[in-house]
Amino acid sequence: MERVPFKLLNATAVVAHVTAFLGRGLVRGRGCGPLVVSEEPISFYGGVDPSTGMIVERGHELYGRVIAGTILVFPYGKGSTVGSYTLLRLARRGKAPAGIVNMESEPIVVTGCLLGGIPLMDNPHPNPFKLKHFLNGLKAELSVEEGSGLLRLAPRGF
Amino acid sequence: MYLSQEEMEILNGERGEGLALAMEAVVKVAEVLRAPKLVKVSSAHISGVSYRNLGEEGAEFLEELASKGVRFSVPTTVNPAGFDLEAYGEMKVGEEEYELQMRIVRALTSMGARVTLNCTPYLINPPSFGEHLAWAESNAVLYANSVIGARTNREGGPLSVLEAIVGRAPYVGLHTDEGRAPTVLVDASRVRDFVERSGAFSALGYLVGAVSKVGVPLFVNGPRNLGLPENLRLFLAAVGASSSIGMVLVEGVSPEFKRAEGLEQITLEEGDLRSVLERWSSEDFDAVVLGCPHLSPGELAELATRLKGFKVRKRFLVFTSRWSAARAAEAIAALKSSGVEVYMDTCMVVGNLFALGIRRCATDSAKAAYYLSNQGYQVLLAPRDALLKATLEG
Repeated sequence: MERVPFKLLNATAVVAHVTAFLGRGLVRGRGCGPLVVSEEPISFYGGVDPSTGMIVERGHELYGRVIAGTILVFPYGKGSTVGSYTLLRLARRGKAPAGIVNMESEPIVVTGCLLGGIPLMDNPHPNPFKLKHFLNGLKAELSVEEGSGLLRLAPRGF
Repeated sequence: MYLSQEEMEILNGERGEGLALAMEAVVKVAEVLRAPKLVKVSSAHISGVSYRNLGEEGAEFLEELASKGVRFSVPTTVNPAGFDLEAYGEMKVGEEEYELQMRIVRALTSMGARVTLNCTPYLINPPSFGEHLAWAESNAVLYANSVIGARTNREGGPLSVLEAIVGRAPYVGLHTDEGRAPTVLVDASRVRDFVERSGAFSALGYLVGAVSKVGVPLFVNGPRNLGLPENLRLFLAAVGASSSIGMVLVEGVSPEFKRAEGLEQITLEEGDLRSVLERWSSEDFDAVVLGCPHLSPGELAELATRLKGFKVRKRFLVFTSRWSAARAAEAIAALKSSGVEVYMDTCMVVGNLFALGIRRCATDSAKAAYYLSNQGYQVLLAPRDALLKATLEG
């Protein structure tokens, strides 16, 4: 029988039970797409190509990935405040994430999501970074209403 | 979070869709920052004006706001654009870029901004002590807080547009008494002689930002002459480039400076200052570029006096505002006759020096040095005096 490392087994057990994350709702809306989880903060200005939605910051863990249509999970935004306009530009070209989940949002991402109409939630529970490898690629739906947000994993085989 | 009756009405769309969108954004950001309320501001300054930053979509966004009849509710000035609006031919700007930039300028104008295209609003629209502002552009924020004692956070570029519309900002950070209390003591006693001898005020600012990173440094035992406006501007702009700091309490300068006990203490060392200078030590340069921050009328006059009767032997570019240039018309004429290229509405950081055939630049501003080297230029950082001498001697 194939041996499953204990840590992996443990996390699998958790994943089997986790089907949703609750958080603070910041920008209303609903979006659906594959999850992309980055443990590193993202600089939208200079770090994301506004016409393709590709992460272009060298050395970034998502370097080369396209974030268009994804549910993008990252700790917080960094870098120039002009990054808000990058989010707006992505949204207008149909290249923005379908939804964003932050650990702790900051003004760049909040302003950008509001201008671009991108659903935004922060403070997710439980902590999605601990389940990063299982969440990446899973299909999920983010729905944000006044004050609260819900990130639901799609049932397997969906 | 507390909202006044008027703020609630704006938020609920009773004063129009555009105003409601702006209020929603400002309130959301205030919630994220855990501000208890909004504060009314007496002026706004918008950054992120260049066509390169906004792109087609950013221009469209501003045009939509303008077409919905949205107006700035407080006096609003704006940061430099991507090129000199009159000398754009000399700056090798294409038709498309020109049109995009002009759409942004027209939208801002129709919303009621004073399109100053300048990074030193404290010269053009000086605030008073204790006034609350919504200013983006770090050097202006640092100057307003540290030198004048006005109150503003380092507002984001796009957010400052929305704050200018609603005339309010989240009441948090440098707007509050607690947020203006010093967080770290920075002692310059071991570098003051070096800075006095060399004139490295800008490198000093860069170092202060790099070692303090965040909060409000209490800066003591600084060099004599740091209090001169041109030195202060270079110093503070550099703090803004190497940190997210929005205020420095400078001994002998800041109206709110007072000694404080029990702070963590950092003593600056000469070696650290030398490494800042070594970071930008390109051996040769195609052009000297001055004006980060934009040169004031006084600085233009001083420069003209220094260059009187000489021709520059290297390309020498000066960036300033139309406002300052109008107040130093003779100096501008004299500078041009010495071979200096004078540009307005833009600067070396948001403009495109490559298009002017410049790859290696020498500047007296560590802020400019930081952003230019990020854009791929080779940079020499040296005090203005030294650059002037080098240019005149060839």
